[in-house]
Amino acid sequence: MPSNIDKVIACLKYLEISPKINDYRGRFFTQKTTFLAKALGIVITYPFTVYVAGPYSHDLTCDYYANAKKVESLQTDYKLSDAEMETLEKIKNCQGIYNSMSLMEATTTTIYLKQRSPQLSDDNLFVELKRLKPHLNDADKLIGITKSKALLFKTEYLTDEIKKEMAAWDNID
Amino acid sequence: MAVDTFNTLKSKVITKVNGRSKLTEDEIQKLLDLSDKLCSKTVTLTRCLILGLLSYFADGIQYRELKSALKMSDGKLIANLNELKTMGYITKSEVQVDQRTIDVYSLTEKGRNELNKITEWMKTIEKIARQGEGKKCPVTLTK
Repeated sequence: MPSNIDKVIACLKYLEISPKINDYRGRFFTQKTTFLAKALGIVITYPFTVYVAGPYSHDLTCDYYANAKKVESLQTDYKLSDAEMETLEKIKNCQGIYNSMSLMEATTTTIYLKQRSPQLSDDNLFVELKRLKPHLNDADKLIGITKSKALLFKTEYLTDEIKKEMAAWDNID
Repeated sequence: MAVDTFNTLKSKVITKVNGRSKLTEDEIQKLLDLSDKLCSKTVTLTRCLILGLLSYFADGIQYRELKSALKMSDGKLIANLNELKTMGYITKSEVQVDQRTIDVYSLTEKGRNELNKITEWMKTIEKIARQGEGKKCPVTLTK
């Protein structure tokens, strides 16, 4: 059975992220990428907490410190399945989240909240985000909510009716 | 026969009571010894909380995240962080977050040792408290 850290390395490799474990930014994006991969369906068993610096997994931290060289050089034998690559492609196509730590934090926190309470409306999500992460600015929170919707959107929701409507908007010019 | 059974039972009860007393006595001695080894400056609610959080969030915590989580004024938080830093329990590093420089705090080895002492001390308190549980002391307060 492949280890969690091997799967994480495979995900980072696919997303072309080579983190430096001694660097806070590198660890930050490793944590958030792993959370996103898990939240979007890749089987990774690290438990995550949303509080303080979350989503954060202490077990993941222990693993990447113990395997720092392996993680930094992206060495893994794990082969991603087609479904896993499809999931990672979604993350890859989600623009901007790797350029801003605040936006990444807002997006991942929203996904955590949305998974815990799927019935939360956008307004309530915003309120909850404000309570948990008052240090993030409102723009990041709003964009984070939009990004989380894009990431959680499943292709099976794309009915012919929606496709038609989207095509109409695309051809508006 | 009945007397024998009674004596056996009695001796068992005495041993148990003595055993418990001995255990409590040892634990109390341990508690006092541990208290001597603790740095009284660290054992405050805020400082214990900061050390505990930094122990769990081993990647480090941004100043703004600590402030949001602890819901305290900048003055109070900075004073506590500076004191812990002076004692060598935590370190501060500067990190670029979205074109801004943000302070990130991490626990040092010395801080981890101090936190271990605090948790050991708390465990001893818990042990003593648990031994007192379920055995109501018939105390009558008189003026």
